[in-house]
Amino acid sequence: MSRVFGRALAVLPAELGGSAPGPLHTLLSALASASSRQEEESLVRKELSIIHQQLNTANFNPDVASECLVRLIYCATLGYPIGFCTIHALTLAQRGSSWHKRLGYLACCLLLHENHELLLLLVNTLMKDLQSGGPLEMGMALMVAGQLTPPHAVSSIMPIVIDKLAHSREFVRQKAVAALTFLTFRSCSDKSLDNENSDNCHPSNSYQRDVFLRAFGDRDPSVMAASLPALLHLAKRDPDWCRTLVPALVGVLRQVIEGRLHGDFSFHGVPSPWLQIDLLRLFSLLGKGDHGTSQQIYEVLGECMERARSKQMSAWAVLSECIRTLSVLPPHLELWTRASDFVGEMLQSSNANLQYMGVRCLADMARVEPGTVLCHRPSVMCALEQPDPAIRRRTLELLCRVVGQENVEAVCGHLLSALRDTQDPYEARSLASRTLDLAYRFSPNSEWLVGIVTEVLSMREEIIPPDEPGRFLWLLVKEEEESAESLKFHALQALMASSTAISSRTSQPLLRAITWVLGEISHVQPDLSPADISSRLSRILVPPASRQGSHARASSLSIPIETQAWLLTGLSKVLSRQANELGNASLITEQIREESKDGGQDVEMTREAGGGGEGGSFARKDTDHFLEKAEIFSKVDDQIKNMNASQKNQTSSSPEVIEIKVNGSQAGLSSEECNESGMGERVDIMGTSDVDQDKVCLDKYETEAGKSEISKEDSGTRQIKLPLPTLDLLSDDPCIQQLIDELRRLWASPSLFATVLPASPGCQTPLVDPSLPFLDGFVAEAMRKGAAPYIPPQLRQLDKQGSSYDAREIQVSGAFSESVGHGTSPTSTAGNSWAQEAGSDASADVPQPATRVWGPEGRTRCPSPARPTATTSLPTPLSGSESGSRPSSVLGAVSHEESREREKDEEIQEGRKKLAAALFAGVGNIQEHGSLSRTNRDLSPASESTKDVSSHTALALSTEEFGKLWTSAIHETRFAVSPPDAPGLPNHLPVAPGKAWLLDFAIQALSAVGFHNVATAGQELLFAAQDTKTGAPLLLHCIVLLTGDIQLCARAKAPRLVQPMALSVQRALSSPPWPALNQKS
Amino acid sequence: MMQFMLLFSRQGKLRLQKWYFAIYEREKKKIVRELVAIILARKPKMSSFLEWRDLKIVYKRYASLYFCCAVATQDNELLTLEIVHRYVELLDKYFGSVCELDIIFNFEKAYFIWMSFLLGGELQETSKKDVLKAIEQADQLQEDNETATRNVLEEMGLT
Repeated sequence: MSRVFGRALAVLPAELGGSAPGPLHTLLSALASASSRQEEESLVRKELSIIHQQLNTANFNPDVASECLVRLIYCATLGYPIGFCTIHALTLAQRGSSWHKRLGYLACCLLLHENHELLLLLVNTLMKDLQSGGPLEMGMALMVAGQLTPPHAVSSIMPIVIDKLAHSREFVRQKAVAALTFLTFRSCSDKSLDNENSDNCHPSNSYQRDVFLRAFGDRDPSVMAASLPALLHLAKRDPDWCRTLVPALVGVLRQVIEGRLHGDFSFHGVPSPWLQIDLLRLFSLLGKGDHGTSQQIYEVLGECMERARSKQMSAWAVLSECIRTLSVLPPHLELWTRASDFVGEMLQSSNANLQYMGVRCLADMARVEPGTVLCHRPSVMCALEQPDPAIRRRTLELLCRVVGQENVEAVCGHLLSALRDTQDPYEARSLASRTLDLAYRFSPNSEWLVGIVTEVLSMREEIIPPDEPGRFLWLLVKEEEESAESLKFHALQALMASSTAISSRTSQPLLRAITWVLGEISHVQPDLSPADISSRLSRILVPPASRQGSHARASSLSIPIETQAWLLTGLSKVLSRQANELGNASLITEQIREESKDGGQDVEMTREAGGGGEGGSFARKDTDHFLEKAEIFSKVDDQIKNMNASQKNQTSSSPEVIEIKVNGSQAGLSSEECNESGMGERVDIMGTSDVDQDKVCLDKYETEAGKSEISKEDSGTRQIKLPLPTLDLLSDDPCIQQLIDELRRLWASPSLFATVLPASPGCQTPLVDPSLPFLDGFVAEAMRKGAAPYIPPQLRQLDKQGSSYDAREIQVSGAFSESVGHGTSPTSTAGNSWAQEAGSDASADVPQPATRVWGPEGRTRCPSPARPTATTSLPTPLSGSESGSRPSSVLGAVSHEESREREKDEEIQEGRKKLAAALFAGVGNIQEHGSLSRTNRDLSPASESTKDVSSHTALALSTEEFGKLWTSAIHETRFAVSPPDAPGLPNHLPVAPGKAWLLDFAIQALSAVGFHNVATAGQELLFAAQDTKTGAPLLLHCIVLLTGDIQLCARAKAPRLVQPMALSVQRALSSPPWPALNQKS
Repeated sequence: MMQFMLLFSRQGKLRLQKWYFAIYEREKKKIVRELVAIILARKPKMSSFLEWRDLKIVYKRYASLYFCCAVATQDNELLTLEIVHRYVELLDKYFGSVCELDIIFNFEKAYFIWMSFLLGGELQETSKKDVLKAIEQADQLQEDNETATRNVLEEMGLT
């Protein structure tokens, strides 16, 4: 407490002249004399308990209550919890009168927030005061209503507030407008409201617009000014409508700047700066990218700038807002020059605030025309060296706007040095992401880029953008042509260098980047052996110092599980390369063995390799025979040389030696000392090449194995020690344990390793068959034991609805899959649905255009280029005129043609609007069970009555249009159908490639129910139809799988359209094959 | 739009606070502590603006009091500074050359003034006269002893 304050308090009682000091004063003086924080705390606690007592007495005395609340607010300001008293604030607002009520409301505003549970009790008080109070009470109630109306009470308060717009007192009207703005725009952003409610208060509702327009046209300037925030909100949501107001707004601004409002409204000689700035902000919203509107604005904007020339700070505020508005409008040369002059004035001012604003305005201008900065270069350089960090930061932002290929290095240098200096994590985060953005966009060469990225990645972990290192690694993958090679090379170099200096402080993103780069692209540097890399990786995973130590576990656990997983994955990549080399080698020996068999020689295996582990197995062969086949051996020799560049001195011609070398090098790759011993042994082997080779070699190998800790297992698999720490050194996390276990098992049999993880030189994603056929046996087994067939959730939903044919549908498909079960692919339905489940889960997060799909042969390209462009016309859905409740397919088709003719003109407009709406409305919406079930209920009677007539008609589309519609329709259902077997074809045949009859079948069956076949590509079919009622397009994507199933994805713009379509498709495809097909087959 | 307003002394004691969004008490305290430390550490020659988290802080010192407002980034900083100035002028006019003590003893009045010209975080453009008129009108309703306190403080001439 200040000295002055203490003295004043001492004087205070005397000044009050006898009258006893109030309780607040007593509290204040007691607190002022408190010497420590503890003392203050005990004082406050005592005070709070007294207040609590006083407030809880039975008879309510408004004087006492007000006094208590004032003290409570003070305690709250000091930071003490006063939750118990909030109810008394409400009571005072309710039961007090005039002054007490005002204090009660104030306490409510300060102590409650809009989500407080007690607010319900305030609603009645508010409504009473709004309806029957005097103007003062009304004003208070309106002030509070704007802030504290609970969301569910908005609809009941709103009409009363709207009534107040017609009140005779202007301050009531003004407060009503402010409250209404708050209620309207807060409640509409509030997702917790149900639909009904938000429809009522939706601002695009014309009634709401009228209300705010009426306020805007109020005769009192303060009411008019209060309506501008609401107009700003409306302009953001519906600029087209607001543009009609521009002439009126221009008129208002002109009146203001010409000083035609009352003198009371000017602030230090600047007429209504707040009003001016609100108007300017409206202009920037409305004139953005609109030449017509901007033409109306330029003149008044120029005048506004001219009149704002004054030394007053508020004038500068208006001026800076003018400049910012100008930088958003289409450029106007004359105004631009003047704005640039003003900016120069601000930059050169001695006032730091003006300098700051100058830099900010210049940044706005630089976004449009970077050249503007050149005129102010000296000032900008000055600003960059300012002691004030806020100005420096703004200047850096400005520089980021003018970055190009030439200056990117300089700017990034500045950003990096600012990044090193700053302590504020928020600022650091934004600087880091900005630096990386610029580096990615403008990097002059890959070496520099890699340098910047590694520098940022090596900083504190919390400032690194969350998409790193993914973004950088993605760049390494996707970059093509020759720049990729140099990028990869530099990345490898830089990260290899960082990998030598890893400590516990190394940031996780950097660690992950190192892991990935070493695992994935280390092949770009041929002199790096996989063994070196795997040893590096395992050293990161468990630092060597802690390998034997008792604290080993702790040190390795300091690496987060996610990074451990990265490391293990990286390790598995490197090991798979090793295993592949080994696998190749064994393949070659296999070949040799085959040849030797052909030659009538008998081949003897010393060891039987378990689980296909030929790499570790030994074939004992007759040496003489192999000497005859020298040319094959030299071939083998070359291959092995290629694989193991490190073993340059390879000259042997004996397969045993080759094998040993491979294995020896393998062991060597695992650990250094092993490698050395391997080399030593090899010399021996060479020396003894003329004696009984196979024996010697085998013995030698075994000694070597013993030396280099190569373990032999009882199963007969010769296992080379995995460069992995033991399990107990790593996390208990099951995922990590699983990864290690998998790695161990795979390592035990290199050929299996090579099959599971084939060596891929690039970063190719392995191909996966989405039908997961390997699970078929497992599922068949389960079903044979009585497990129920899998039903996708969508169909389960329908089942619950109990619509009669739905149930039958499921029975049919279930029975069918069982019947197939005796044949070839018993569980195809189940297996597929399972895969689709996973697929639809993934796609629920990110609705992706279906440009690429998984086909049975791996990844196939969908023929429809699904590129969302809003410019071309789309076929207009049928209007409601001909959509009857009893649609006949013929009539539907005819009238569809007619309507296309009739509505050709509207088509373009409509299509654009629809597509735009669809593109932006509810992106990422996932079908909710609630809405689904509701729509199903609505639809089921209709579908019942039209059992045999489909509810949609064909829609002729081009493939391109299909693609556009596909991306714009986001509600989808995935399911699979097992079509019945074609008569005449044997049951076990469906796996035949092509499945031409199935394609034909799908086309015919779906055409029969009103689908138009848009395109066919390979095993994929695209269909389109339209809903007969609404004309909305319905889209269908089919893939005929090798298993004989048809995988389907149905899409529409509205969720209620998807289910009926899916049902009819499923019905069509599950029914017995088309008669025409019968004849065909 | 205004996010919150803090008024604290040079010693870092919070005098007034007004939040325009729902926030936990614990979080409030943390923010206040952080901002008070940042602002008190700044040198007088520096600008009145700060970028803090995703907000912009505009502060100004009047005698022993710091007025600090947090606004959204797209708001006009200079104008926010003028809001503060206007508030100080109103306080000055109401209390008659205001000082820290006026605000300590009559903080509820200071709140009334703040809230009557800044509704829901948006400044209400009214003539200065109207704001004071409304406050004084309300004051008429007040009990005598309250007015007496004010008079005493005025007499004390604590400037």
